[in-house]
Amino acid sequence: MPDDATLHRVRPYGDHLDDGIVQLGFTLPVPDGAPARKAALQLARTMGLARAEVVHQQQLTPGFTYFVLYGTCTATVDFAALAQEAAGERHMSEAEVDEFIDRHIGRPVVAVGASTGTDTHSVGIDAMLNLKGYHGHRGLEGYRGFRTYNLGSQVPNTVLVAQAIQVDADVVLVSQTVTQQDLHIQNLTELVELAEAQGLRERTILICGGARMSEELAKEIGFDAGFGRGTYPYHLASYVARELSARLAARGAARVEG
Amino acid sequence: MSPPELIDTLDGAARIAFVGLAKNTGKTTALAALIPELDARGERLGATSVGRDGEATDVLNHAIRKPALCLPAGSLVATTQPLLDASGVAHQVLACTQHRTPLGLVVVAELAEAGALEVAGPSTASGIRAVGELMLAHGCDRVLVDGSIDRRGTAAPSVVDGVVMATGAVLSTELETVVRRTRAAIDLVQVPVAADPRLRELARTSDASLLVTGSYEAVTVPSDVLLSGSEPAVATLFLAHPAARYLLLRGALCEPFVEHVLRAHRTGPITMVTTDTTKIFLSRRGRRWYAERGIHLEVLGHPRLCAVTVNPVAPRSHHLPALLRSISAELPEVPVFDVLAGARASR
Amino acid sequence: MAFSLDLDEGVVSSCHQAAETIAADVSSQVRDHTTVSVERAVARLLGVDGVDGSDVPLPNILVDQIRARGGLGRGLAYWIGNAMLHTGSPPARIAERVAAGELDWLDLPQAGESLIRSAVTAECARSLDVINQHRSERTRLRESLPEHPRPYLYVLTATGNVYEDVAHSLAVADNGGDVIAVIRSTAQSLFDHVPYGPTTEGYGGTYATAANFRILRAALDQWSRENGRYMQLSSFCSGLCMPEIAAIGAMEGLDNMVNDALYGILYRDINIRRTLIDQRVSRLVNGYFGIVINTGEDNYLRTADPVTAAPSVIASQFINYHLARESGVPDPQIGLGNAFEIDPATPDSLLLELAQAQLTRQLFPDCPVKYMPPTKHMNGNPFRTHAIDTMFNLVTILTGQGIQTLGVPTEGVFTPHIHDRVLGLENARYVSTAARNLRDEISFRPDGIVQRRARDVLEQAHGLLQETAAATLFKAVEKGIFGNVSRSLDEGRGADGIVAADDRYLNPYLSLMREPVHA
Repeated sequence: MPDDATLHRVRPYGDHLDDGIVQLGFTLPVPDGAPARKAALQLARTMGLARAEVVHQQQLTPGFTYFVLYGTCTATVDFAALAQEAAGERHMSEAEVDEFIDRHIGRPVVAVGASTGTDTHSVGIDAMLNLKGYHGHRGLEGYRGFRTYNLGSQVPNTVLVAQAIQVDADVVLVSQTVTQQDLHIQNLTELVELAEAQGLRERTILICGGARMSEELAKEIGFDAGFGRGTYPYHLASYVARELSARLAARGAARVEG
Repeated sequence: MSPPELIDTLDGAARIAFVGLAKNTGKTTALAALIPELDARGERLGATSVGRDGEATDVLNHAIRKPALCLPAGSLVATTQPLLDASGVAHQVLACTQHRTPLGLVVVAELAEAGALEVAGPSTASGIRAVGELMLAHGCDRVLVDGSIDRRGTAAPSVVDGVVMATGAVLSTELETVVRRTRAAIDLVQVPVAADPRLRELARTSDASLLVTGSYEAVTVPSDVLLSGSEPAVATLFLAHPAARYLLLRGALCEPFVEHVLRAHRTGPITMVTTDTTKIFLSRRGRRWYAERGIHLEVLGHPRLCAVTVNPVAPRSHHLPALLRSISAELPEVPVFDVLAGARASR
Repeated sequence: MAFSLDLDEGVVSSCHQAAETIAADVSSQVRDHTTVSVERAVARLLGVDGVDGSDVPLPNILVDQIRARGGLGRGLAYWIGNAMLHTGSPPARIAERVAAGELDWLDLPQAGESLIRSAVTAECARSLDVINQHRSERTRLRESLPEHPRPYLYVLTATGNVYEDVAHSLAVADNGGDVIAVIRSTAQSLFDHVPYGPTTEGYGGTYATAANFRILRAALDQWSRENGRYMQLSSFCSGLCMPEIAAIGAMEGLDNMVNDALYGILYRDINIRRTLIDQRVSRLVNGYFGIVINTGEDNYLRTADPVTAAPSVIASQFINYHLARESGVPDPQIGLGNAFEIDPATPDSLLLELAQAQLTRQLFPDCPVKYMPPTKHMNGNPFRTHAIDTMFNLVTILTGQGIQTLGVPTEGVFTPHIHDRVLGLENARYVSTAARNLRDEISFRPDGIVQRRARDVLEQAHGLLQETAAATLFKAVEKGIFGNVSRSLDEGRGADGIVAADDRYLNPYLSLMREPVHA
């Protein structure tokens, strides 16, 4: 196991510490042959892989060659610093969330969710909101501290915003599956813009989720938070409860018991 | 790097937003290029961004490098404390705002020395407005706002006074398409301002959206009809008010609604007035296409379009050398600049 | 045959009977109605195409005008026929003049009914002759070239740009794929019109347009001639334009179409009656021109738990089958659907999949069942997905499936990159070679897990079918029996496009296409 010092300079692990072994696969739009192999190796070197070797090479179709390479990664990452950043975040359980909401917000949190755009399936948002939940973790519908509205799939942004206004939502949850060409970005950005235009942005927490969503991407687009693979309803609930409470406190409207 | 002319187009606009039509159009480059020019003229600068910008690499594409913001000593910056600390640039925090970002609360700090740093400001339009006003109140002559992808909300007239739009080859491999899309985007920003004083008065005194007749009688329109009304609902609205000539919208103008209006039986043309261009959500058709069919758009106000910058290079993809000239020809009314070469396009 | 399940033939025929009842009931409900899409398909078959200055397709202009005047119940053929008699022009020319505002075609004096009928029927027959001739040429081409043995490898591609799709399709052909299907832009199924012209931008896929079909068809035909193997082209009918896309596909030489009776209702929120009317005519068109249709039972296995939803899949197959037969589609053209979607963590999942796959094959022995690879439980680990795809490929070969959709390692993460498709094809070919004769060497243990599972699923499917037959399909959909999705009769898009046929409704294609036809 790495000791504290090496946690500041972590490299990939093949079969012993610090060996830096990385496996890579990619296609070059070039004809198969020795020059192609050299090109792949050179590319691997510029990617920071030392002692790169091509273990497999094949023509996919004339003009396209596929490679599998191995190499040792010369770069390192400071894991200790990252771990420290995340140390403050501990998620609450369902019971803890309900109690937190009781104590700091004093009323159910209104959440409206949907899978927007043209995504056919609402598997993601159902997992977060519906009673049945996901892998044994109940969705927000089952929490005492939440009142939820799941609009399902293929919901246009305009309908989602209209509903959020109607029920005076505290939080809007959007789920998007990624297709190619980053289609989801345009649709998600439009939601943020629409919320702004309707004067909703200030008083609503906007969250987006999906298998390829990340905190980074969510921020970039203008959401308050993003949740990706591996998210369970209680992660979401913890975040929403804390965030809403902090906002209400900032607005001076929270009811805090001693 | 940046020509004197670009800086002149800013004129008296105190708060300027840099908005890109897509990622990698060079808007941050344009902003970064202006900083030393403004500094050289003795202006004290404030800087912020919508979301997280000035990062070493593109969030969506790790191979693309983006410029960090280099700011002179004495500049103000609205960003988060962790990013200030990580930059290593000496600074003094002037104010802590209540604007929460996933990276923490936004603070306004004064840089004690020149340096490069990542800037992550508020992610809401009202947050940007607030920090802009705060920085002006603390003595800035100019506030530069770096937009994020296409967050047009940051270019609203209450938030900024001038806009620099960035376009580039990244929009398409075809020159024609880049030019066409740029034109459509500029059209949206340059929507005519509603001049009719009675309409403006109606807009000023009402909180709700209004359908107005030629003789200025007004009836309220519920927001859910405007947002998500069905075609029959919209048709009914216009059947009930055949004398309607204007629609004053408080919130967003959405394309499905406009399409329903197009198909509704009307007795004449209709003019839709929004508060500003950030409320207009037309993506399938442009303003001119609807105008040809009797639907006209106006706004109550919008910030001045100062200039358009062009990036003829699409990173790792292609290069359109004729782009600058084509865009200039297409937009005779706006100053156009090559963001990297620093040359004003010849006319 | 050693490798087969012991099925209770009494239960099987009872399932067929129930499904026939269901299909007959649907027919009686939809028989006297038509839709805007059906009538637009009539226009297209008569040669009307193109768009006006506002990008509105001419078939839409014609149909919308008739509908606005309350005359759609008579059928577009009636009005076109009348206009033909008065102007002496063919339908395409009439449409152009109407779109240009030069012809008040609905105000023309109405000729005698039998005169109209014979004029337009002759025109319809002529149009079919032309299309049939092209299709005969295609059949000759196909018969002159060898094909891979079954299962046909069915590969999806979609870049949004039809010209890039051509490049990807040729790569697939080079690597042994048999059927190319270009996924459509996601929003297309909700359009009440078919876009026009070649397209280079589309979100989540490429638009299905006549021009795009033509471009892909030409490229594949050229490859077929140069490489000595016939490449098939497929697309998707589902949505608000099922009959039109079926017509366009026939005219542009497609071989295969995804066409499910319930998909649009359940997953696109299209009105039940609208889809059932549209599917009936679209399948009439597909069937008449020799096009294989694929149904979408795989969807039920994604929105509901695959182990418990299996009976609804079998029930849907029976229903899709009989609805297709009602439209005159013969068995060899009914590619019913099935998928390998059980959670890999389930013990004996392989045996359960085997039971389902073999059951489907045995129940519909003459149908080229389309078997689809796992998607729901694929988590982004390409190596795991590739391993599970190998098991899917094994079941495909063991049960002798007709059409096999290709599994690719990046399922659930990306639409496949160029090497992912090749890796998937290599996997499929390896398994089909390695296990070539396995099916003739082994048999199922009597009363073992597989046999019992198949029996259970069939019995439950039987129950569902009887329940549905008693309640009608409409009620069953309302109860959410299929895929756990519930829809009610008056819900959904496109209901306003349904029109009751009046007693003089004219659509010669309906009877012309019932006659057995081409070589």
